[in-house]
Amino acid sequence: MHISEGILPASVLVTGAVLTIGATALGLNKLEHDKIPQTAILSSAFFVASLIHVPLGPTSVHLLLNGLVGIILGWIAFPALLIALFLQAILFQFGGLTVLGVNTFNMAFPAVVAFYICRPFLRKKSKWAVGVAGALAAVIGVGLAGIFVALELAITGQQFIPVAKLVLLAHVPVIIIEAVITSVALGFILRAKPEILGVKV
Amino acid sequence: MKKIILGSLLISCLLVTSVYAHKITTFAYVEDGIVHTETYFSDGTKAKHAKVKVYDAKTGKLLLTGKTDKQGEFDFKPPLITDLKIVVDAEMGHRAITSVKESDLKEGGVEKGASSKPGPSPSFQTSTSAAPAQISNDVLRQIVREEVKREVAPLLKQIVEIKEDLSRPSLTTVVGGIGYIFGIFGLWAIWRKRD
Repeated sequence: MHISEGILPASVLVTGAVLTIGATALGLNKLEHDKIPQTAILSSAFFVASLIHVPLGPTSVHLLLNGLVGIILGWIAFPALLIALFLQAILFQFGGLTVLGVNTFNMAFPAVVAFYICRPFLRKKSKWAVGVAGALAAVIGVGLAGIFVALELAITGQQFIPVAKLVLLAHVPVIIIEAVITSVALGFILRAKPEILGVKV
Repeated sequence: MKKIILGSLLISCLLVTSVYAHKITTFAYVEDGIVHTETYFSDGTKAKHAKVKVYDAKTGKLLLTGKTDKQGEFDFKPPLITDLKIVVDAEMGHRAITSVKESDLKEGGVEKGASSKPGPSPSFQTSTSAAPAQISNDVLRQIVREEVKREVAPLLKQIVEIKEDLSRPSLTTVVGGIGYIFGIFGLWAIWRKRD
């Protein structure tokens, strides 16, 4: 999901950077003092998740966990992923500094979408609903990120539909693994500390 | 909260044991005037069927294009001797760039010219003749080159392997990265509290 440097035109890079800066400011505004520890934990979980790799066909894909980050943090996913992606760029050379804005937007915006769509399910407090929320978060997080990548590559002249197909197909195993991880994590949090998910005991 | 922190730390430790990554790296070297390239993801998976574009680094002109094979390799003979820029594009926006210097190509080119010249092994003739130092400069150069190439071949392979290892993130970096994240958020917490 990390787009390398030198592929996208400047217009896309600037747009991505501006959107990311705006959303990050919004996220930091919402970052209350007692939410800082969980944000740090989720940021590092995302940082590490990108190293878990699933070999597949001609390419190799990795976990994202942006759906899980989003459903817990909402808009705060932007600063959380921005820091993780920044460190991935300088420590592992994933992506790069000029593409940082675009890459953050690609992964954090789906996280915010997952937040708004999946949160209502959690209020139902049934095991079923938690499973649905986790699976939806994985599909939205990874799927939407893949569509963004394909759209941006389409601007560089690559055909949108084949690229989107390839990106999404390659990520099917990732989505399945993440659906399980996210559901289990949500179930655990709901039992241990439901306030984190905005659910009253 | 404590449980969650401990749980996530445990999970991240477990995850770290299978440290894998996502970027591609290309390694190029010249042999007999042929440029060999190898492209792989940072977990060591070969980048198969990736698009390769070779540019003249001086003029920026596209010289040739190709695709890597199943081993992630692509060999080509440069159409002209100049600085080369090799750009490899794998799927989903992965790109690696490497370069080959003109001087490397020149050596390779000369070598190729020399190797095609001499006929059936000249070393025998010289060893049977009683008079020493009858070997022509060209032949001597050729023998030395072949020996050096044989000796260097395993080294070259090792360099490729070391490069693959280096492009893989190490445990130290991963743990360091997690430390940075907590540090940054810690600073943010302090800064926020002052307001």
